[in-house]
Amino acid sequence: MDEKRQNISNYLLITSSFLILYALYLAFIYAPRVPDFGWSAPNSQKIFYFHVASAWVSYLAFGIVFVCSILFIKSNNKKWDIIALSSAEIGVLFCTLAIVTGPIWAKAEWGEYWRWQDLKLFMTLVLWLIYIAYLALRSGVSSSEQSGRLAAVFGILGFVCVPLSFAANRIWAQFHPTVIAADDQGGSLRLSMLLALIVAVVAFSIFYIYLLNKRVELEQMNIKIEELKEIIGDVDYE
Amino acid sequence: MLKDSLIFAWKDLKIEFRTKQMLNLMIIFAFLIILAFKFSFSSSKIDDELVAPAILWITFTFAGMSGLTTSFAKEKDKESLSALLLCPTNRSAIYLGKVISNLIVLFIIEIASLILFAVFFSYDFSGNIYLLILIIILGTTGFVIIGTFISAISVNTKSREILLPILLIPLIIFTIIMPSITATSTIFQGGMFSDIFDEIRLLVTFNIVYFIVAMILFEYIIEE
Repeated sequence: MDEKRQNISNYLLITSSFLILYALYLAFIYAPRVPDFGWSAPNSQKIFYFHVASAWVSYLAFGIVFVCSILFIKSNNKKWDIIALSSAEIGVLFCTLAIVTGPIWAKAEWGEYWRWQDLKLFMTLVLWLIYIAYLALRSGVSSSEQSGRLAAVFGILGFVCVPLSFAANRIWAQFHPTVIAADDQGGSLRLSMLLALIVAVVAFSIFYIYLLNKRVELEQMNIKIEELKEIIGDVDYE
Repeated sequence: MLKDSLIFAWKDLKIEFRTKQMLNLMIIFAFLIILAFKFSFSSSKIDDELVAPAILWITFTFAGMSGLTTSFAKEKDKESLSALLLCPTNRSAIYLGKVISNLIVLFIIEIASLILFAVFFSYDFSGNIYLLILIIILGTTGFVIIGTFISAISVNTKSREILLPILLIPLIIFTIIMPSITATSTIFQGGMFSDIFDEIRLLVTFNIVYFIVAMILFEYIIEE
């Protein structure tokens, strides 16, 4: 069982590594530069492929937290709680990546780091804040059983809050560049960009699954250690 | 169930009004927040009228949060939470009771801070005062609905005083506080009901959604 799992994990790592390398090749060499026309910083557009991929993985991870939280509340099965915790941590990581890469690009393209009116920026920020709070809550509760339930409840409430925040923010406008869908010039150009984007997204998603698997494994080991400690009794190791 | 929760709320209020300790401290805290804003803005060239609605709501939020921390903490510390849980009633009645008592306490704080606000920011209650009351009621209800719920979550943690704002602010800042500030500033500028209809609709919707979610989920967080 463990060996099989190790194998799968290795395959995931190898696949995602190759795909990420391939995505780098596609983004920087294969995909053409965006036209100078309409773009103030055509070179920095290259960050787009990885920016979108990180953002996508963070949304995926948070969605999985939400689903696992509901499943945990319903079934009280520890398995779901472990997945939710692991997914939330990875989600915050990728969300941070998206939030960091975004302003780097925005500074070059828009001339400012942040636009408060932008819908996607806003939504990602809300998600980021909520899941940082989620992780803070998890580390704040001592008993693991209680922390799982409290965090699951907060995870559900937080996820409900996102569309509401979305509805409340009436000042938004769409500044986010739509590289793929723009149809002003050359169709073939966009197809190669789309390919680079898809490869980047797939590569990051597989990498996410790899990380999730590893993190779940780690958490299971933690739990096993705690159980063993309980059997042995309180030993002072220092 | 409503009757049970009214009994719970009555119990809380009775304890509170016997000493008025929290109430007094919260009013002093609100007073200090308003003063702090007044003095920090008086040295800059920012127009008071522009920032006044935001200051009003920040005062409500932070004063309210200081009260919410103790809402479940005092039950936990005095170990009376187990007694509450033993009551032959629905678990969500405990939550509803806390919401009602917190609401009443917070309304008292808000009346006091509104008077202080009027004095320090020379606000002469211009604009439609009934609309302002309506927005304050809606905004405060939303704040207390989520706040009480988060208070029940954070009471189980080690650092509950700091964790409550960390959990609460992301949930309320855009959904409750922002529409309230927008509506309040429209009212201050002499807006009518039709001008703030959107905000009222949003706040009512959010209150209902949050309330339903909180009532459903409450039984999962309040176990011994």
